[in-house]
Amino acid sequence: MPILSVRDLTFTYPGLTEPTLAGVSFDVERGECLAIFGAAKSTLCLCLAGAIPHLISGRMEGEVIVDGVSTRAVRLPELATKVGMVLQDPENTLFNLTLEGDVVFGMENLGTPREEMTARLEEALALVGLSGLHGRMSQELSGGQKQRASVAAVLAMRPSILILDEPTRELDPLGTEEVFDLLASLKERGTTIVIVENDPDHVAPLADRMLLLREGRLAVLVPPREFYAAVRDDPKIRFPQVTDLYLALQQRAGLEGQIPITLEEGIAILGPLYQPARH
Amino acid sequence: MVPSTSPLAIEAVDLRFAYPSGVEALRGVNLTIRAGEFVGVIGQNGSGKTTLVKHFNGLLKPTRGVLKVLGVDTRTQGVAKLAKLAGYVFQNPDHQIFCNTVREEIAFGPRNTGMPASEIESSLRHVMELLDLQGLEERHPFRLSRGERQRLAIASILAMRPRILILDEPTGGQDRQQVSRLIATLRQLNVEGHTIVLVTHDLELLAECADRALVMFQGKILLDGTPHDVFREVDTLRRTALAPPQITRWSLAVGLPRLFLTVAEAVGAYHGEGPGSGTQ
Repeated sequence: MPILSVRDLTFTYPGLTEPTLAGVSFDVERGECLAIFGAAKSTLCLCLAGAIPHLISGRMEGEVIVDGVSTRAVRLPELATKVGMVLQDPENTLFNLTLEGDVVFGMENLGTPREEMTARLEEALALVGLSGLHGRMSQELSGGQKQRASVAAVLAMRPSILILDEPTRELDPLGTEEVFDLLASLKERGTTIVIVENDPDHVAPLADRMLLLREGRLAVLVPPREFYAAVRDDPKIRFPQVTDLYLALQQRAGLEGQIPITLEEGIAILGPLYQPARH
Repeated sequence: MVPSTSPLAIEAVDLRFAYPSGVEALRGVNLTIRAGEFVGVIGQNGSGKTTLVKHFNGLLKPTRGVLKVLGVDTRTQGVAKLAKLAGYVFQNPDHQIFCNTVREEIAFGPRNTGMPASEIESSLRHVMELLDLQGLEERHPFRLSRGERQRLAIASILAMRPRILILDEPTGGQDRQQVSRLIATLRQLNVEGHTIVLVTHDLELLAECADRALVMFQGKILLDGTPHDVFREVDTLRRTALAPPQITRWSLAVGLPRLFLTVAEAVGAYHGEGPGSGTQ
């Protein structure tokens, strides 16, 4: 059974006549990483996390089923143990004085027993590589540490799915590396991840499938390699540069077969094209 | 290439700056930027790059040392005068935007710097077209998309017609098409004579438009040269946790004699000598 099932999802914001999402259906399997592109991707994330319909007004039709439960059917606190959402700006998640306070905040609100809370705090901090920093003031953390802390706060609630909407937009390259290293290790441990991320260098190696929304409808849903081939004429999507180069040379160089989507693949597939001719 | 006789747009001599907390953000910067240059400033958060460029229009004044903008010592002038020389576009447009319509937002700066009403109107039309904002004059800025708000922030600074334009991470929330358009706009402004200083983490963006790259590290300039020269210093860049664009790393890994900064360069350099073209 899929861990996440979206069934004919349509959502219209108040005051608008056209729906922002229209008849979107797809499944995500346990342990899978799905990357979302296109207009209305943030709205889709809000639906997956239950913020729609619980917090944001508008007309929602269809169903989002997480771990067997419809997001409509349960209240938000219960939903928080099913889906956890990491916000773009960690400053919006971290508002307690210390790292420990920020990570236990969600659990406290869910009424998690104290011993259980301590155990989960330790586990979550270890997972994001912040063990031993419990008492650190949140404002003393680097950008990457802050975003890892906000992932820890979400993980401590033990959600079945982790949703991240541009989690590195406010981070510098170092912080971005830290967050993607963390996501790779979480994926290895079987965490289901749904992510909005435009940086192809980071998302191409992580995602199992990529989903493109066009005018609120599901337009493409395939693994990364096929995705970049399918959307090659879409001017809005940023490609890995080796993919760009491959597609630009494809005809002239008579390239067939596998499209490179990572640096390593680019070296193997495109490197030979630039070696001096043999005599 | 800007001639070495071109006047100095920015001149920093042993520039030092400490925040009230005591944190020393700039620890002796010596730098000249000539009028008409397009300079990219890169570095990690906390490296001092934003602190540096905030000196270029007097938002910050040196703790020690001297900073001159088009020959004017920033300590001797108010912000309004300096705003006509150098305009600073904030990283987060929401820190800059506060009017109720797009039109008011753009007209605010020129009005404040004493531009005549007739000129304001033509300046407004010019920047709306340049930043692809036509038709949104009466819209409330907070009903724009993030990408539109970012462009509005640039438009409202440009409307004051500063000779130097400073942009701090201007591509947030923009898709590839919008980024390409922004690059084209910045290049056009550069050709028209504006000096452009672009602060960014995005080395791909820098490679697409800047003629010169400055790498900031711990409050000082660590590297200063053409993007080709700077991106070749992979080990030094790694020390500052910056990675050149994927295509540059690719050309280094493949062992090509020439470094590619952009995909277009790599495409242009392909002559079909490799396998798969033997029939030609």
